[in-house]
Amino acid sequence: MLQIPLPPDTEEALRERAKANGEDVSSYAARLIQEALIAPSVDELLAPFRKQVEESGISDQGLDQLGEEVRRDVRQERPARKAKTA
Amino acid sequence: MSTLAVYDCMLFFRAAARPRLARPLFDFVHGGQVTLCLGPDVLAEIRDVLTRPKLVAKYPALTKQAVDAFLAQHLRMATWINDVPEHYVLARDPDDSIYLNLAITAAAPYVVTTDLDLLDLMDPQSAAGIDFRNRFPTVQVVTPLQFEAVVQKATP
Repeated sequence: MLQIPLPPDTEEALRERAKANGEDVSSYAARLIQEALIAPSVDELLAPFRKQVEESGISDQGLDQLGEEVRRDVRQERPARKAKTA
Repeated sequence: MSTLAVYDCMLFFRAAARPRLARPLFDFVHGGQVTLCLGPDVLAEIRDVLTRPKLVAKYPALTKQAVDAFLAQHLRMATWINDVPEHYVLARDPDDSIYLNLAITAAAPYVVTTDLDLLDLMDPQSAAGIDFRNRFPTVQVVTPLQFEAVVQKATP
């Protein structure tokens, strides 16, 4: 039997959520853990993107330049900051 | 003890796109040696960059689900600063001020970046840098390589 020590606030929140879902706390916690284990990890979700980046042949420097370009575009669309308009 | 730090958006971009470029910075976060500071403006910039249509058009596999999961992962490990007052405006590029203001508010000693406008604040000859360092002596703007040395020195 696995026992997991939880901070009091977390345990309280877990009990409240379980109650709201009409489940006992153990079943609810087990279900949350099962769902977390089934869900793809961040690396798995990002893997296709990373593969596309590699397959595009972009260099490290090119990737940094692309990121900077995108950030410039993002910033240009934002409302001008005070110092720019002063 | 974990070192508090603010990472520039471009480091998150590297971590998402080509993780080896962001090593060992994000390994430090995952290993608990570094605690990231995040706030609304910095998080919005990271999200806006990673969901930018121009980027997604080039790399369609960069899905919203992947970006959300990536951001959630780092949010879970970060210290969230919801209210970040404007303590300082970086004249050379006011948009970069969000990183400095987050570090100042969070009392984070390091802003880690490759951005020259930010890094020049540490130039002993820079007038803006002298002013910044006098006003906020506890905040250092460092390159990833410099920060790596700081963390490795602090790690027993």
